[in-house]
This record gives sequence, C-alpha cells and structure tokens, in this order.
Amino acid sequence: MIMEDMNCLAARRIMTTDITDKSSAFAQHVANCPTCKSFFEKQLKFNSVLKRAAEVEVPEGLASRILVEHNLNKKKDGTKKYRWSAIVASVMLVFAVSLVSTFNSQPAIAGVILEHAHEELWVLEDKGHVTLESLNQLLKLHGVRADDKIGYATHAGNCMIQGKQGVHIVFAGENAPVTLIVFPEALDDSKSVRISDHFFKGVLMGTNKGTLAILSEDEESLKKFEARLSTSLMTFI
Amino acid sequence: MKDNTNKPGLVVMSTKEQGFESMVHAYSKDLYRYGYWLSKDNGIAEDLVQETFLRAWRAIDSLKDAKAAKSWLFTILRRENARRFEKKSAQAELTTLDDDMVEIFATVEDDFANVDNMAVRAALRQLPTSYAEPLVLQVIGGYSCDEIATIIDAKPGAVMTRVFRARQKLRKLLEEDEAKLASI
Repeated sequence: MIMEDMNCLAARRIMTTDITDKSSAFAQHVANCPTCKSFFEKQLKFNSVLKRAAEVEVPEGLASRILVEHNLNKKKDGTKKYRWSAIVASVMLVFAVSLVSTFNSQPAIAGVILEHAHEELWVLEDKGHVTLESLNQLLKLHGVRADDKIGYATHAGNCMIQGKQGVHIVFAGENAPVTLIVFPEALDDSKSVRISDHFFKGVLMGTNKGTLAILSEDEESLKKFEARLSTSLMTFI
Repeated sequence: MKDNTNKPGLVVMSTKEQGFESMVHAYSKDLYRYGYWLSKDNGIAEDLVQETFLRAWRAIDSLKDAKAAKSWLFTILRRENARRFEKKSAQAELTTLDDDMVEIFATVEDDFANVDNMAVRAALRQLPTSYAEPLVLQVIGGYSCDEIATIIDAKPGAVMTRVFRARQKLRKLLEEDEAKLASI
C-alpha cells in the first residue's frame, strides 16, 4: 500500500462513512493505492445499489397536489385576514355607530349596511366570474337591472339584512373590490348620502323599491364604480 | 379587471411564487423519499411533504440563500416528522468510530452490484431510523456527514458512526438473506 499524506485506514474511514468526500488528499490516495482504489470502486457500486433502492416510487402528481394545496391555503389565509379585519371592524363599528347616533351625520340604515358588509367580508375574496345574467336574476326582485358595462363581478348572492332579503354583489375594482348591496328598506331622504367607517367608504342611493349601497375600502375604486354605475345600472320605474 | 402588473409589491410576490413552485418541482421527490424512509409509510410521507411545503411557504422570507433551500426543506420535514411523536425518545449518541471496525468492514469483498432492489429495500426497512436516516440523506440528498449533522442536529462524529453502522448492518442483512443474494 502506498502511504501518501493520507493512510489507508483514514481513506477507508472516508469510504465507509463519507463517500461524498472530495478532498484532494483522499483523491490522491485512492488514485495511488490499488487496494484502496478497488475498495473505493466497490463502495461506489454499493452506493449506487443503495441509491436505487432508496429511491422509492413517488406518487404521481405529487408536485401538482402540493401546489393545489398551497393555493387553497393561500386563499384560506386571505379569508382569515378578512375575518380578522371583520372582527376588528365589528369592534370599531360599535364605536362608529355610536358616533352616527350622537352626531346624526349618517342615516341609521348606514350602520346596518356597514355592519352587514363587515360580517360578510369573506365575499371580497375573488372567487371567479359571475355572469351578467346571474346578476340580473338576483337584481330583478329589487326592480333593478344592470348592463354589461357594470363590470366584472366576483361574487353575487342573496343576503339577509335585519330579516329582509337583499342582494350582495362584489365587483373587481381599480385597486380594491367594490361591494354593491341592494336593500329593500327605503331611505328616509331620496338624496344620496355619503357613509363611511374606519374601513369602508361608500354611498347610499334611494331607489323606488329600496336602497343601493356601494362600498369600497379604496376611494378611487369607489368613484370609478359610481361613474360606471350611473351609466350601466337602471332602476325600474 | 384590475391590472396590478406594474405594482412592485406584486412583482416580488410573483417571483416568490415562482421560486416556491421551482422548489416544489425540484425537491418534492427527494423530500418524499426522505419522508418515506423516516416514516416507512407512503401516506405519512406525502403528508410530511405537504406540511413541509406549507411551512416553507409561511417562512419563505427567512430563506435568504436559494442554494440553502434543499437543506432547509429537509430540516423542516425532519421537524414535521418529529412532531408526529408526542415525545422524542432519547437516542444514544454514537460519537466515535472504532478503527478496528473500519478494518474489519474493509475486508468485505462483495459490491452487491447486482443485488435485487427489493431485497435492499427490505434490508433498509429493517434498519433503525437513527441509522437509516443519515444514510438516506447521504445517498438521496448527496450530503456530506457535516451537512447531515446540521440537518439532523447531531455531531458529525455521530453521523459518521451511524452511516458506517448502517452500511455494515445492511451488508450483513443482505449476506444473511442467501436467497436474495442468489443473483449476485
């Protein structure tokens, strides 16, 4: 056996434990010692046998399933975020509503609509497209009809507000979602009223069958939607 | 629809997403195999990989060096597996490798090059996890003993001993099973 910087025992220790070793002393010893070279080749073969055996079959579509699960969890996290906002909002709402009643700056219905919007914050999650036909099916009962300029709806459904059936629609806005709530209770005053709390800004508009509320956390998204609404949504006479 | 393509925050988000997807495609198979040899169960192995990536996504901002991603994921999976057990059994630390053992082992002539895959798997399954784990990390992950020591939170000397004993035990198991060695 050739004795270089590394002896045979040290080389074999590496071969039987850390076969990934790439040190020059080890490489040099193996290159110059026929016995160790032969032993090393056997170790490499055994290693490839082990690798082959350890590489058990991986279930088909594993990566895809991980990514699907990942996307679902992201959505859930987003919903949780909105729910937390809702909890915080509910606490703030008590304060906001008390201010409304104290200063009488917003109609009582504003508190009801805002409270409902906070309870249903989860609908702000983008769940895909709702067709115009579906929107109009829901709006019909409230004497309202929309055309295709109204925008891209991501949620639409009936809702209960203080025991009365309304419609709750969410549109994709410029920077944030815009909520449209149609509520069967009429405003005391037919004029539009600006409403807001710590989270939402919005406007209430009277129709001949009730009230329309438009809400968004983003002022710009709200204004653009209002402009669009004025040309696309018609109230039945 | 809103157009967010010019928003820097979302561009970063997209890169993070892409990085995550690349990690899933690059490492899910190796992680599954590691999970399998830790648990010896296909279902648990898949759960471990799912949970690993779930935690990895939540902590992805803490991963500063993309090159460390693989070891980072292996470490997460190992912790996930540890969580399966209510209490971790204290494993005896093996810190020294006897020179006599190396010499005895070095006399073994077989290379097992033609041994049946299933026989080796059966032998691997019989290894205690404390032996199989570093060996699997070495052959599947391609890690050195020092790297394995970091992943499994052990001393490098202990890893060397475990790898050595794992190999020794495997050879013994394969030799004992004459029927499975018939094709050699």
